[in-house]
Amino acid sequence: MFITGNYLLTALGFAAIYVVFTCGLNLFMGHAGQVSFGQNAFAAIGGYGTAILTTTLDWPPLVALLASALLSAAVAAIVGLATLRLRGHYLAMGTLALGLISYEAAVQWESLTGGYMGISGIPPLSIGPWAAESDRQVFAVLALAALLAVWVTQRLRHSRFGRAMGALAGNEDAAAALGVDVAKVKRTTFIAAAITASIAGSLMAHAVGYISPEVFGLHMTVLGFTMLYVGGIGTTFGPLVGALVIGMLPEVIRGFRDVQDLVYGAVLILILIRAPGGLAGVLKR
Amino acid sequence: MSLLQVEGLTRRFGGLVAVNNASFGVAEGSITAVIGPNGAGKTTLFNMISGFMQPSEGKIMFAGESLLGLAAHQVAARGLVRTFQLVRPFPAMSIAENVRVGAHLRSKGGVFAALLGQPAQERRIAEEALALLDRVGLAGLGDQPPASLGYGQLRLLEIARALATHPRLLLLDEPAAGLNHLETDRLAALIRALHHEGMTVLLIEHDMRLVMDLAQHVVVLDFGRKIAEGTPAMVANDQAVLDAYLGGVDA
Repeated sequence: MFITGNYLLTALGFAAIYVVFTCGLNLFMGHAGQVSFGQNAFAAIGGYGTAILTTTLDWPPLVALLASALLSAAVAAIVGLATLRLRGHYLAMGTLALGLISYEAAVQWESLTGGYMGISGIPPLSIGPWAAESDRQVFAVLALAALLAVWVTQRLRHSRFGRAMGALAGNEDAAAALGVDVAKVKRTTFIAAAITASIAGSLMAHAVGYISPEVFGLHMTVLGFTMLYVGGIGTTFGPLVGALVIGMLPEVIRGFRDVQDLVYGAVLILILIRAPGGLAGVLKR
Repeated sequence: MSLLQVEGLTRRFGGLVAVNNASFGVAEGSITAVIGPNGAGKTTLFNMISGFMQPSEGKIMFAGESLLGLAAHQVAARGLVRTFQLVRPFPAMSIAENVRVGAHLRSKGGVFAALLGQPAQERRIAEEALALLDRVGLAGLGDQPPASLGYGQLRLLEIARALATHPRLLLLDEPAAGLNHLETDRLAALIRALHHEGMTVLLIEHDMRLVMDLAQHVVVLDFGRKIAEGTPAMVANDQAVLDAYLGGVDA
């Protein structure tokens, strides 16, 4: 196990990006009790939006990030009109289609996305004249974004809006009987989760400097799910704990070489059996 | 004048007529009960009044305005709030937070307000929720999850949640179902106390003892039709009602 300083920072930075992504997933799935297999689509909009706007149009990164997030919100609002009528397994399938479509679009729409080649030369994240150039600076920005995402979801959860989400998750009819506009809360949460995923996608593009369809494939959703369940779905710190544990696990078990994947799977199963409510809950106890 | 007036209400499911041309009023400040054998259409009637189902025909007037075409949450916003026969707690939230959801209509704020924080409003809502838990007899349990409550207590939680909306008309769907005698008595005392404070209550009930004890006005349904209406004493001696409950005797 040789983890050099910079390599560790890079891995932690990735985990931090996934904290942001998983926080959005936690809002929609953990707190509002819905399901989406298509959050990678919004990460793709964020990632490609940032890549295109900063490279071909030379937009400042922060403006590109916000513009992409706005586009994601608009797409979520439109797609939500149709998809959010579905419930349970059907909602899962509907959103899965969204994630698959976004991947195909990234591959096929070559004039915009560069197809399989992707887009390279994305500048580092900068705010005004300050740019996150070194590994240390990049990590600082990503860690800040992760903590901000946890704070925002925590804030949302313990509010009037958060109670409406919890009511939606608990029982839609009982929520409606108390005056909660169930369809509106569902839509708003879906849009909030899309914005979060989009920001994660933009951060990813800046952190790596290069994106391709593979970056925002279905595995992103699978990884987000794993982190959410390992960390603790519906808990405040679940996304943080889950993304750190799952993000760093491959680095920690790298020494197992050939049987690395086997160990990875075994550790996952062990965690899910020993801490079915997630690690965040165990830490609290 | 009636706070709630239902006229010619009908609901068909294909060839089946679940509620057939039902008309009655609920006087402001009264406790009115709808009774009837199983399958008489009571729950369908309730679902229509509370906006969970649209009638095939008829009118529903509440405080002088029509409720037709309104969704359930819009009906609740008008001040007509229901509970369910099978309790429906929000399991991921504490008991106190369940009640705080009931303050939804009387508070403001979405995503942005949540980020800024609303300490004054939140404090008010939290205090009211504790007072309501105290009121229904669940004092000191606010931090527990709903799963820690028995069935009778969950029913009380659901009523506390409905009361948090400050309803003008409280609709209770079989509130005594699944409760033992002691719990039923406590429930009756609570409903009576609410009545003395001026609350209008409409309840569907199987428990005749509770109905006779509480209601001033009783509407009897059988096979979707209203077969009798009046004071509990009048209804209890009505031949059509006796036939419906005892399995009518053919002439």
